[in-house]
Amino acid sequence: MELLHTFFNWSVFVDALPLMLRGLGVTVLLGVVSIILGLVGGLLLAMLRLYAFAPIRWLARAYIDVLRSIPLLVLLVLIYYALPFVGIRLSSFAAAAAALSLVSCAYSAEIFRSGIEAIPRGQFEAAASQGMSFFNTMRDVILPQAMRIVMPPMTSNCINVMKDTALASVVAMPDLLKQATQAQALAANPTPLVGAAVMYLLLLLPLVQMVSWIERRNAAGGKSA
Amino acid sequence: MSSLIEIEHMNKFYGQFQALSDINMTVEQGEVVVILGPSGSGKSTLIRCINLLEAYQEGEIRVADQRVENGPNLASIRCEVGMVFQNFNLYPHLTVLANVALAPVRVRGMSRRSANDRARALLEKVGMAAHADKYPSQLSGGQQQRVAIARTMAMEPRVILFDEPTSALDPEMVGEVLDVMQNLARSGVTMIVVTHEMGFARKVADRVIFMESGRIIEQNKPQEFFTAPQEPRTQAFLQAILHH
Ligand SMILES: Nc1ncnc2c1ncn2[C@@H]1O[C@H](COP(=O)(O)OP(=O)(O)OP(=O)(O)O)[C@@H](O)[C@H]1O
Ligand SMILES: [Mg+2]
Repeated sequence: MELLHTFFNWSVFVDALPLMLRGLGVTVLLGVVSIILGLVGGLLLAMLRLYAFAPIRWLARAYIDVLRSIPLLVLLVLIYYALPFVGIRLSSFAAAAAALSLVSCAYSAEIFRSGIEAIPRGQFEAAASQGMSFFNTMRDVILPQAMRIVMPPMTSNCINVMKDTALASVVAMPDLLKQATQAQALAANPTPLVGAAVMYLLLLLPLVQMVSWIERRNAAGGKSA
Repeated sequence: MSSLIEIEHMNKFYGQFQALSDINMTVEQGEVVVILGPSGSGKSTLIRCINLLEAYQEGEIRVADQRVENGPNLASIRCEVGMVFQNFNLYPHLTVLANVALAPVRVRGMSRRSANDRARALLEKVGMAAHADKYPSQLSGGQQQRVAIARTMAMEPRVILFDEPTSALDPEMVGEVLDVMQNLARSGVTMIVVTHEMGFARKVADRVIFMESGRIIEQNKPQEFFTAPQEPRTQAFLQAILHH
C-alpha cells in the first residue's frame, strides 16, 4: 500500500497531468524538429563527404568526426551558456534543437554514406551510361535503394534523438522530464517521474519494435527486391 | 564523311599498368562489330572507354565527331552510346516499365506518357510486354537482359555497346538474348559486342576484332577471320576456342 501510494499516487498524477502533457508536446515537437533537421542535414553532409571537392570533403569528414565525439550534453551547454558571450543568445528550445540536430546530422550522414556505398557500382554505371545527371542518378536510382538499406539504423538514430531530448531539461526547457521533475518537487511525491517514464516508453517502445520488425523482415526477405 | 566512332592512338593505364595500347579503330553507322579475345585482354576496358565509364589517358575517341571527354558534352555523348552490361544492372526498385521509361523522361525530357508508350512498344519487341509491371528480381536472367536491352534502346542511341551480355546467363537462356540482339542488328542498329559466342560472331558480325594484351591484333570480316586468320596469336586463340 505504502509503495503504491508513493510511486503510483493517482491524485498527484492527475494534478500533474496537464503540465506533463504540455511537456510531452514540447518533447515531441523538439524531437520531430531535430529529427527532420538531422535527416536533411545528414543527407547533405553525406553528399559532401562522398562527392564534394577534396577540401570540402575533408571539412565534412572533420565535422562528422568531431560532432560524433563531443558529448551531446557538453555541446548543449556550450550552445546555451557559452554562445551568449559572443552575442548569440538562443532560446532553450532553439539551443536544444540546434545541439540535437547538429549531432544527429553527423550520425545520419554516416548512415546515409554506408547505405550509398552499399549500392553496387553497376547501378551508378547503368545510370551514367544513360546520360543521367548526378542529381537524377541520386534521386531516381541510388537514394531510393539506399533508403531501404538504412531504414533500421536510421530509425534507431531517430529514437536516440527522441530520447536525448530529455537532456534539454538541463537548459530549463519545459519538456516532459522538466515538467515531471517540477511536479515531483511540488507534490513531494515521485509519481510524476514514474508517469514521465511511462510516457517515454509509450512514445518510443513502438518505434523500437518497428526497427526489430523491419530488421526481421529484411532478414527474411533475403535476396532483396 | 567521318565514321560514327573513331578511335586514334588511344592508350589507357590503370596506374602503372597499361591496359590498352595504341588502339586505332573505326565503326561505321549500321555496322555490327564483335570483339573477341582472351580474358584480361582489355575488351571490356576498350568499350567502357567509348562512353567514358573508364577514363583514357592518351589519344582520342570521337563519337559522331564529338570528342569523348569529361565536360559538358559527356551526358549528350552518353545519350548516343547505349550500354548493355554482363550483369544487367537493372534498377531493382523500379518495375520493368519504369526501368525502360526512366531515362527518356529524365534525360530526353520526354513526357511520362509517351515514354511509357514507347517503353511498352520496346518491351513488345524484346518479348517482355507481359512482364511490364514486374520487378527485375521476379525475372529470369535472360528476361532481365532483354529488359536491359529495351532500356538501352529507349534512349535511341546511335550505337549500343554490349559487354558479354550472355556470360551471366544459364545456357538455356543464352539463345533468347542472342535472338533479340540479332533482330537489333538486322534492323540496322550499330553495335559493338564483346562476347564469347562464336556462333553470333560468325552469323551476325560485319567485322570481328581480335584483342590480346591490350592491343588489337587483327580485324577482318567474320568469314575470313574464322577461316583464314592471319596472326599466329589469333590462330592459337581460335584453336583453343573451337577445339575443346
Ligand atoms: N579497375 C582496374 N584496376 C586495375 N586493373 C584493371 C582494372 N580493370 C581491369 N584491369 C586490368 O586490365 C586488363 C584488361 O581488363 P578487361 O576487364 O578489360 O579484360 P577483358 O578482356 O574484358 O577480360 P574478361 O574476358 O575476363 O572480361 C586486365 O589485365 C585487368 O586485370
Ligand atoms: Mg570483360
